[in-house]
Amino acid sequence: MPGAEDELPEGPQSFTVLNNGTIVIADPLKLRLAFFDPSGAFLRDIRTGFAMKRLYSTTYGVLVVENAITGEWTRISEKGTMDPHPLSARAGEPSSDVKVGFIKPNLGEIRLPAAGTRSATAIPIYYASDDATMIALRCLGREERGKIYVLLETTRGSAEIEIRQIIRKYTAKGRLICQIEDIPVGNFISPFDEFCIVEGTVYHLLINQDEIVISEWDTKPF
Amino acid sequence: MKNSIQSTIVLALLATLLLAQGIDYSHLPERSREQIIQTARQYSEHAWTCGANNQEAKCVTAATYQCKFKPGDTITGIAYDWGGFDSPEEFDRKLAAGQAAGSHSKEGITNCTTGIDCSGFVMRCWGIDTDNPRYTTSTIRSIAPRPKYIWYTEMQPGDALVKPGSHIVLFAGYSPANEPMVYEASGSASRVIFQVCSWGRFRDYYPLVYRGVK
Repeated sequence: MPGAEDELPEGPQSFTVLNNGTIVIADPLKLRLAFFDPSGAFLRDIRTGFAMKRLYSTTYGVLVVENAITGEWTRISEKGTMDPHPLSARAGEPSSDVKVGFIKPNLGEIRLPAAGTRSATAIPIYYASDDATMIALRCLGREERGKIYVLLETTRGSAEIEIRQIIRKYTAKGRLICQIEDIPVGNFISPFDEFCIVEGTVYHLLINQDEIVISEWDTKPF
Repeated sequence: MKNSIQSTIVLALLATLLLAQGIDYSHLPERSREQIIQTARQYSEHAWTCGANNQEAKCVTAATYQCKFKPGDTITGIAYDWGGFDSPEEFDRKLAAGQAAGSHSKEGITNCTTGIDCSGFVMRCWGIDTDNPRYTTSTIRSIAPRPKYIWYTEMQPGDALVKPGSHIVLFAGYSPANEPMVYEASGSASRVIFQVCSWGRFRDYYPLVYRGVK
């Protein structure tokens, strides 16, 4: 929906990519999950009957969605069978065991649970630039081998909020191994989850007035 | 003592200056930041159940009315209602009277739906209990000027982030990752919610500080 004076346009809030490359978008207007092939061709849909705020796929091909109205979680099978999610609300979230902290501009940290103990390992996140400052960070995901994806938000300090986003990939020990800087910018609709990481590929959802653009970066070589 | 006298003189000069310009802000209610956040919490945590009689908005003629809630749904957060300005008590009373729960802009401003929209919500949090005059995202700067502070470190709970003509949210604080925590009457969530967002979501917004904040 296009929006109006004092009302934001409505559109997808979340998406995910399945292991076979199929893109799944939570469509809040038609209350459905829409499936597209990697070239963007529409494949099929599953009617949920409710708008969704968050959407994850599990390793077993099951989708887990959060109802945008009630906050309840539902599990949706490949065939479209729906039942309440029996686990905790954050079970599908990729980075729920990783905490991030902002210490001061240009310095943050990631805290990882140390195996077998209650303590955490802290990895410092430094940012240095002549014309921009890192002002926030977020953990986007963690691979089984321990590599971590972190979203950095930077600004040049203007009066209006002007943000550039950078994704970094770190080893489990905190060594920076690659960085994505060319993330497209748009603000027609800001989805709740605009990034999705599947087996080393980072996907980004950009919603313009008349199209949805999915960008991807392959970080597997790193 | 000397500082106190100087402050009083400065305040008196400012008041004189504003009155000389014909701008009188004395009608604005004074609110502490704690009161502002407490009100926001009240709207976002207000629990209600959508009844079968809250599904239809017979006065809506601009479009087919589509209620975002299902009968029997227990909802947390006052419904989003474009142009709406209802307090939690008014919302409950209107629901009980059979008004429809919430609306969006395509349905127009109605008198048969209940809830609150983004600018109405921020006004209510700031203690303004009348929508005459009604401030929109384009005019709210007249009661909440832009501060000169650094938005990513110096905002305070109770300030707002606005994009004129589009949307406004109430700032509640910085998360441990320094992302903005906000309360908002959200069209996409169809209700008042609290959430932690990325800064990217607020590109082209800027902060406002309510003139009546104590």
